[in-house]
Amino acid sequence: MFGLKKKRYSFTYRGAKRFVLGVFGVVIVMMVGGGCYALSQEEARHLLARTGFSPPRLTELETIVPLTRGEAVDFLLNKSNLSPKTPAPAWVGELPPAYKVRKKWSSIERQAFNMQNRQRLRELQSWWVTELLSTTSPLTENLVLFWHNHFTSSFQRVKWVPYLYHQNILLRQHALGDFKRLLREIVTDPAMLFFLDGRRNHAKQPNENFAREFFELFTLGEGNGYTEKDIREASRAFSGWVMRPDNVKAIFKPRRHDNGLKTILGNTGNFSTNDVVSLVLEHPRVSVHIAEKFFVSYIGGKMDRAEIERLARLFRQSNYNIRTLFRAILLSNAFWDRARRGVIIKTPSDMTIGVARLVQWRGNTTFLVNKMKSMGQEFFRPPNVKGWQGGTAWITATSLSARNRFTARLLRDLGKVGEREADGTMMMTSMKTNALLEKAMGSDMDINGLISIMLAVQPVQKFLEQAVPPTAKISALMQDPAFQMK
Amino acid sequence: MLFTRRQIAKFIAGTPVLLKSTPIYANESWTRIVVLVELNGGNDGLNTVIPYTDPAYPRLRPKLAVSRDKVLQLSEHLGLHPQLEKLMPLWESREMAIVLGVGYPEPNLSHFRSIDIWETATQGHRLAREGWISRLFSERRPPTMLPAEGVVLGRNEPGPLMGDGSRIVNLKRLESLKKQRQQLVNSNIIAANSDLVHVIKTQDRLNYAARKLVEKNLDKVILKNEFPGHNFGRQMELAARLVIGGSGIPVIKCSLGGVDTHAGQVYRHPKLMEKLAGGLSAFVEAIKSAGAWNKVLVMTYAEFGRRPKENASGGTDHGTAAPHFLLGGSVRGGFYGGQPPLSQLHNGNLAYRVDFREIYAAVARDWWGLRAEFIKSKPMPVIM
Repeated sequence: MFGLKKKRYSFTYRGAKRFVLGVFGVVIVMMVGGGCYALSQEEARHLLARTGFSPPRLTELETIVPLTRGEAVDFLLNKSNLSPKTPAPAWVGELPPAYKVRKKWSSIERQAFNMQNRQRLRELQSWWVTELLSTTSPLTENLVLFWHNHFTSSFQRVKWVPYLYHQNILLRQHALGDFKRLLREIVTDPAMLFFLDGRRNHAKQPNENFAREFFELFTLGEGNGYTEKDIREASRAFSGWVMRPDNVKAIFKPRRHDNGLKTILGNTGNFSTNDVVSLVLEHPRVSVHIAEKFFVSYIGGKMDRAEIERLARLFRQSNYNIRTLFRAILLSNAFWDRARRGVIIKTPSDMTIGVARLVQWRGNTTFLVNKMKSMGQEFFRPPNVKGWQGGTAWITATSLSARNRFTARLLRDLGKVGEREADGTMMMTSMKTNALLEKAMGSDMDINGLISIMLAVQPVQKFLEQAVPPTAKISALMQDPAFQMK
Repeated sequence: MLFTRRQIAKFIAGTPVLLKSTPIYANESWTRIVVLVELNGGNDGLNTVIPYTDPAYPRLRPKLAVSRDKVLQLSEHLGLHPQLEKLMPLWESREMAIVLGVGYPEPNLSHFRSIDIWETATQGHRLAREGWISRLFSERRPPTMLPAEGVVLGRNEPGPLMGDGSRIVNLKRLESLKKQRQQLVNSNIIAANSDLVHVIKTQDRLNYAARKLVEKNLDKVILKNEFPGHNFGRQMELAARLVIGGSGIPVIKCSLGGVDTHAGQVYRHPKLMEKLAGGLSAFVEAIKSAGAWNKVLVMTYAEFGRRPKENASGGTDHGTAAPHFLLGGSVRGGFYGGQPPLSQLHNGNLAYRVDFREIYAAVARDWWGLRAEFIKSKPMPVIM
């Protein structure tokens, strides 16, 4: 099936009609005036790499290659899940110790508590990595990672790890859902209340930390349609929320809430927390800001203002339905533009999880957590409230050498299943179960076949033909700068 | 558009092709090193250089004010935070300048925007993608035989060094250098794919820097004094090795994190001050005993200071002007700028007294001998 040439066709949005097709029970957009052709292998790889991990597994490719763009996109969207398959760590339901208990702790007790927190953070990071490795819907995880970078919170300020778990669950529930709901929930999310000091914000002395980032990062975008005064007034409307040790949810204390008149974004009233969310959603800039962020993460390359405006409008018209926005992105001409393939730099999680899934990694997940960290991404610990900067910032001298060392190490162990490393970690990568590697080992896939699955753009180095054993070819491709792209 | 091998060699700086174009006289000024210390998050200036006689100070800071008897007196009105004691000998020997009330007009209170303004030296709403040092270097590039133009220790953000033109490397540990492998670049680069070009450039510069630095055996440099074991201390140790080992890299960027003290400042800030002074003083001692102190300029910077009035969480929110330090054997010690009066706050924040660009202008003109026309300010007379 590989190497088949598919006819090119043009997309037009005029007169798009919807049909329900029985085969997958999904809705497919058929383009009148354009054909309805199966994906090329490059297109299938592109879709999987951008919405999941790359290189994709051969089975994943084979599943979507016979489908049209619309069918493939809906197939992936319909496979998304709301809750993780990996069992949560045992402690996620625990409540934090009360202040009056903590106050009496000795320094040893306090140290033990801090140590337990750090241990739990590692367990939570491993939990997510386990889910990433085993998920049947890479697309879901990709979106949760997107939101973790948008509505982010860090262990740096949230020293009760179960809150970070609950925030992750919240992001999952709404990852493809209603942005309005997600925004409302995040305003009083316990981890967020800790991270941006919302729990300390009360009528007498408002804390502006959350309100500022609410406008600047979460909704309108920096400098867009709000003033310093809006920040101050919105903090007053956000006041009154606290965390209590007997409840996992935030509690509203009317006495801490500022009941006075506030003027926010040109409206005056006795606004509540919820009112601020409603007021900001009236502003079209919110949809533009979110569409922009999706554009950068999923389409990449030069910003197309007209396209962003179109996507933003769709997002507004759908009443902020994330699935509608995301689907429109995956079906846009820009997404499928050949010139935009391989123009986005893989994140550290793309990199590590992609390679680990390819070689069917069975080792210690902590190893992967640490590797991602050395490449500049540690889950639940973004560098600041803006999340990870992404793009070219991922590639520094330090992180690039960490990436190259990582792929070299994972590939070195191919074929050494079950052997023990010097540091005691069990190296377990199974070749037998991996169809791609198996094909590469045999004679039915040449270097170009491998390139078309593993790389989004042509390799930069030119010694691949000399790499004789198939594992050496794979290794050379993974060390190539082109492997950093998706 | 495809590039030939030769064209690639040209646009990837760091290849010795460019060596011929660097005049010999220019190399002289590149023996002078700047060590940047970013106080990442916006340090509380009022509790760093303290106006201990101002009655408004304890009034604005009922919980956070440092009591008068603990302050290390610098003058009749100002004193250092007690945990900065290790910097006092430098102040007394006039090797430390304290620039008071550093800021800029129409201050922005966002971490990201404000650090952008500082690091790119742009005004108002203009955005630049190049850091101020990168822009300086585009006027006259440091010699290509140097391993790199700048090295980033600690936090990965290159800040003033950002920009595609400058050759920078990030360094956490010296051992990682030896693992770099040489890579040959093929001619199949699509120039329109700017992110891929960035990856290739980074790889190429990395190989070059690694090869050059490994030759210097920096891990064998003998340091006569101990460095603190915390992250900032380790950065300063690595900085000392880079200077003493003769790496020749003209800019070394370090950072001290965690200064964004919105809450619990009474516990957090003294520790930060201790880390800062501990790391800096160990660095100064090592550089002095290696006889390189006249060739080194250390400067702190941050996106902003913090609000004079403490908040209800026992912390301070984002503010504006703050004091900054310059240290070095060629620094003319003493006070510069002016202490913003607590009685004349603008929206609850300090009014700046001196533009940070005056410091940059001094670094450009008096330290490196560059014209730097994009820096509009006049140089502060802080360098001998």
